[in-house]
Amino acid sequence: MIVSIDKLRKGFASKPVLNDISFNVEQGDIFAIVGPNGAGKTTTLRCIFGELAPDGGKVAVFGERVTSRTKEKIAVMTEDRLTFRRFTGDDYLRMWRMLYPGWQEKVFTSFAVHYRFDLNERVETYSMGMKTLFHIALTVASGADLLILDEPTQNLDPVIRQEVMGVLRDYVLQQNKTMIISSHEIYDLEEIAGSFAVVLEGKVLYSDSIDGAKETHRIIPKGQAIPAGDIIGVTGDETLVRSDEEAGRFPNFKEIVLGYLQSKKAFAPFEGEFQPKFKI
Amino acid sequence: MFGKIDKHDGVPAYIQIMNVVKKEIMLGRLENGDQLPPVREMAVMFGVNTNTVIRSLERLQFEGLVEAEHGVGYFVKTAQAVNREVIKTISETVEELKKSGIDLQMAKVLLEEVWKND
Repeated sequence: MIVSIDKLRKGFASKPVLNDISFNVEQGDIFAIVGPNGAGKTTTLRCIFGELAPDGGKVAVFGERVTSRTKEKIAVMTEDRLTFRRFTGDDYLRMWRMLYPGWQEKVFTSFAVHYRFDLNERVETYSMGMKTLFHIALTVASGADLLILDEPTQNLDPVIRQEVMGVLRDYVLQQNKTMIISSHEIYDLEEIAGSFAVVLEGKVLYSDSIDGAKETHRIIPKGQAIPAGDIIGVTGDETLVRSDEEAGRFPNFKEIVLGYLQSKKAFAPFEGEFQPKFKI
Repeated sequence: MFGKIDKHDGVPAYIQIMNVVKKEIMLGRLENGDQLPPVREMAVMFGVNTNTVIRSLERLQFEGLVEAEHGVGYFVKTAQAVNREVIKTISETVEELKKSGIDLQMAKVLLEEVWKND
């Protein structure tokens, strides 16, 4: 287990943000955190890489608490991207090279050539898309065992987004790394992720491997008999049901995510995690 | 050699991988005793993690279509000449459909409908 989170709680001042977050990320997996804005995705990530101290619960990365030593093995791409205003591309490059013992110069150079980074310019002056690509290049070249990426494909056009998702997947598959991604791009995530957690209002509504989720859920068209199982939610004319019976069809990732986000479970204060709301 | 799988299809990736291997066996492109590509290679080929590939291979093994040789890899183990019959039936049907001017897309729609109502 690379990352293990158990009953994580976190609030800012008087405002609770995370309310019982639990999930595990296995070696070699791409783990997707999905949920609407304000669900607690970024806060969860910040607790994982040690920027925030949890108010309660446990966070273990590589089986231990995050220390400056474990940080060598973690590379992070934050949502607000790179922040030192006066730093040029080259300044960042030198800093990351120094921070990561497994730094892969060749990987970075490939990015720099392909996307034409101007390393003498201040990163602040890069376009949003370029800034994003620059940060992805640093993260992937770090050689870190765990990559944490917050909305990595925001501001990228569809063609580059596709390309970048491919690079991220290859990084994990070919170099046997692990990755946690938060994103709204459900379609992109389905392309590369192995497992996921649906987060809403600081809680995990559902977490599983994508295959596992597809296998244990069915989409039942309107008018067809609902099989034995738990009704999760209704999307459009169809119903998402958690069931092992042969009925309807398998749902895709988007239908699973939307089904859970629109389910009765989305606001159920007295319910434990993953407990079905209805029994038939 | 195997072709891709569709991540956006509801069918779980490991089942799609199983189906690809089964297809190759049925078409006779994989024969008894043939070695499958290494797990890592298949993972990259299909763009899934190794656990997913292992899962589909284990299921194929359970169904008696492949066999694991420890430390060497997975081998096709089947005497399923019977399945070739299926291909023959399909070929004949396809020929008929083409004669009637029905294209692949329409054939799929019809197949699904007939399948469901059967």
